[in-house]
Amino acid sequence: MLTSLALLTGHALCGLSIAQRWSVAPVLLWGLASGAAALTILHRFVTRWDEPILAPIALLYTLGWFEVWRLDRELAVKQGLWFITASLAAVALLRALPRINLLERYRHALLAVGIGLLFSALIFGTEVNGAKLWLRFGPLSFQPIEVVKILLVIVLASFWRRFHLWMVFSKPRRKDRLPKRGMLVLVLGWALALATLVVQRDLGMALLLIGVLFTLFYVTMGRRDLVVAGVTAFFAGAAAVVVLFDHVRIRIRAWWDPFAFEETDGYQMVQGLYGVADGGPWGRGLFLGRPHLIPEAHNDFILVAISQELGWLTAIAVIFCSAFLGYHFFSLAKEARGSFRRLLLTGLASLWCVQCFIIIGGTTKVIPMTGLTLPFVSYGGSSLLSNVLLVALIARCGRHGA
Amino acid sequence: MELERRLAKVARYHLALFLLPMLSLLYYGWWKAPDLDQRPDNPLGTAPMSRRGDILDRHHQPLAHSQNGQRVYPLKEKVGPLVGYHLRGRNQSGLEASLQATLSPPPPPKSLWGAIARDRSNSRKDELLKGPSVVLTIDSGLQSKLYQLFGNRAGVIVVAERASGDILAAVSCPSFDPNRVAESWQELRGDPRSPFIERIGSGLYPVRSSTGTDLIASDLVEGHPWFSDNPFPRYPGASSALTVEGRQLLSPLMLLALAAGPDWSFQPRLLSSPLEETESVSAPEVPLPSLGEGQSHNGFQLFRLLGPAFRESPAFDVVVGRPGEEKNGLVFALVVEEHSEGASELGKETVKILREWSQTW
Repeated sequence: MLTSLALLTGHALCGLSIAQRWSVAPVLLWGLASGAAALTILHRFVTRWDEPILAPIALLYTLGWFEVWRLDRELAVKQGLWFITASLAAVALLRALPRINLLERYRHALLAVGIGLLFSALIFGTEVNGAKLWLRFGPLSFQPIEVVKILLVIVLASFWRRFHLWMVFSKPRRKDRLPKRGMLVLVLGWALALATLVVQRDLGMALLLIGVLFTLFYVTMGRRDLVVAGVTAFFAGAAAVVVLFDHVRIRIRAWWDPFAFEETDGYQMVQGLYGVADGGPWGRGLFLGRPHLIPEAHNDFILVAISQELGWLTAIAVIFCSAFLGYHFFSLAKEARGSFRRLLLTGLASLWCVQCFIIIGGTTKVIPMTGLTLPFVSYGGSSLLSNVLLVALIARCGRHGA
Repeated sequence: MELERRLAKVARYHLALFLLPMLSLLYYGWWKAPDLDQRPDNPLGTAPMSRRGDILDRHHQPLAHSQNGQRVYPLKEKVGPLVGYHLRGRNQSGLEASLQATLSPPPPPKSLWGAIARDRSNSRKDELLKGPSVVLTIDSGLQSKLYQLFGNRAGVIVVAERASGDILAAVSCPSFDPNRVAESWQELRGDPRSPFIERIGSGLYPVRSSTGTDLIASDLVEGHPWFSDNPFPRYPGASSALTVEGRQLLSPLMLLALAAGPDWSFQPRLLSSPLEETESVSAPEVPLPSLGEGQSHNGFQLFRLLGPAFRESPAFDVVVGRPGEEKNGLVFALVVEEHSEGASELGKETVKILREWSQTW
């Protein structure tokens, strides 16, 4: 019921405002059909009537699809196709994975696959906007990093779980000590995050790594002092990067005061803020704003485009939906049986929250902008795929999962 | 249990992350929105270039029109400061700035419901989307001729029809090409001769009559209409006269009005489209200053005004004249900056051009 309500709200809003444009009806019908089909598949086979998961997703996807449709009809057609593909892939994944603990058993293989994907992108990837993140197969392009994120969380969760077991079952006097291997993983992960920041200057990815790493570490070990020290050290490293590299400094200043760099680095941000201010609480209405003035409006800055056309109340609703999903994921983690599931769910929930925060915070000038997609809202095949898979994993680990 | 407690704590931290973007949206969408809307570079504050209305001359030849999202000025330098330029956002000058509200199409409705209501009441959308065009009284041919006559000098020449007040030509020099403002922005901004200043209505010159007295008696300054906020309701963007250090500063438009005659029947007019006609101008009580005796050349009169400016500023010459004595003849005002003897000659040349031109008109 919630699902249909969410769908209807979005459709009614948009249908009304474009009442006079019947020429676009085929695309609209395709959007409705593909969205309904994909959501039905997810509902029936993946989330298994776990409505707190599916209803926010339905709302996010619907809003996002309409905004993408408004920005570029061709992309909207592709988006529908991607959503169906992604939900079918999720069904296939769950079929291929009879027990979730298999993930833990094959953690080394998963780690190898993740690293392989990452390097394949670095070696065979095509360059877009100065970063080699894409793999191309003919007409299809794919960002392996999206899947690597999930693999990384699985691997981390399985490692941490072993350390947790070690902690629980070791002799009482050793309990206050930390497992050496665990510390090694922590330090390696921390170094990897800093390396991403220094080498690729990808703040988003680095934050994601740090977030998931220390969340899992804290939940298993409960050593707050180490978390504080690690995160502080990370930010100190980030500050050093800012001081050392000139162009990073300029980007940081463009973030802090985008109006001073309106023609160059701050352009996107400033246009985005103008859009938010222009839309007001209720928005200009679909097709009535000018989101095309914002570069990458269909992708990174879709929240701002939504804010302009549907109002910042709607944008806040989008944030709220994402936050609600995060909350629900964490509560599933709390209820989950077995420490591996619990840790995996925690990691995935953390991944979800940090990922949402990085992109939402980036578009609303809370943190510097780094290119990531807003899950289920932005256009993007690989992001849609990885997020559906993430939700599928969560649903499988959660209370309705086998 | 320990683990669950920590999990709940971690969840709280994660969810707190979402608060900041919400607050930021509120801040920029609500608290700062009026500031952002008013920023000069905000492209959302003005209509898209393609929907902006045209500026036409009296024969409906375009002086400024939009083409493929670009603002095009066919007369280039000849109308530079008068018509002004239009860059992204609210970065405009001249008539493009003062006619901003007129040229822009009606603003899009602020809400979805407003949009639906508008669409219901108007079936033909496209016409609504383009702003209205404005027809000026300028004659492109005369404008070009006088611009060429002016050459490299700095100053103003403004010609009007006496009976109607229609401004037929208004040349302000040095000028700039409004099509290329963005490229040569730095250069134009740094030019000591200030090409961006529209000297016709807003250039102010300290002038006295040829007898050396102030043109407007000092006891009249307070109540004089030229010292009020809007001295010429039919000339958008004209500035009012000033008194600085005891000297009266008048614009070439005021000199034109002086040259036109002793009563207030002459009101310089730049817009011939009826949208500015709403304000009826009644003759003020204050007497118009007299120019005194002018130099008479066969059939026309030239009044030389004294213009030793402030000691620091460049000197200049002012010539106003009426090339014909008939009631509906032409009247012109000429200001040449950088004190040169050419002003009188230039006046005579102008008269010649005007005579030739009025025969063909």
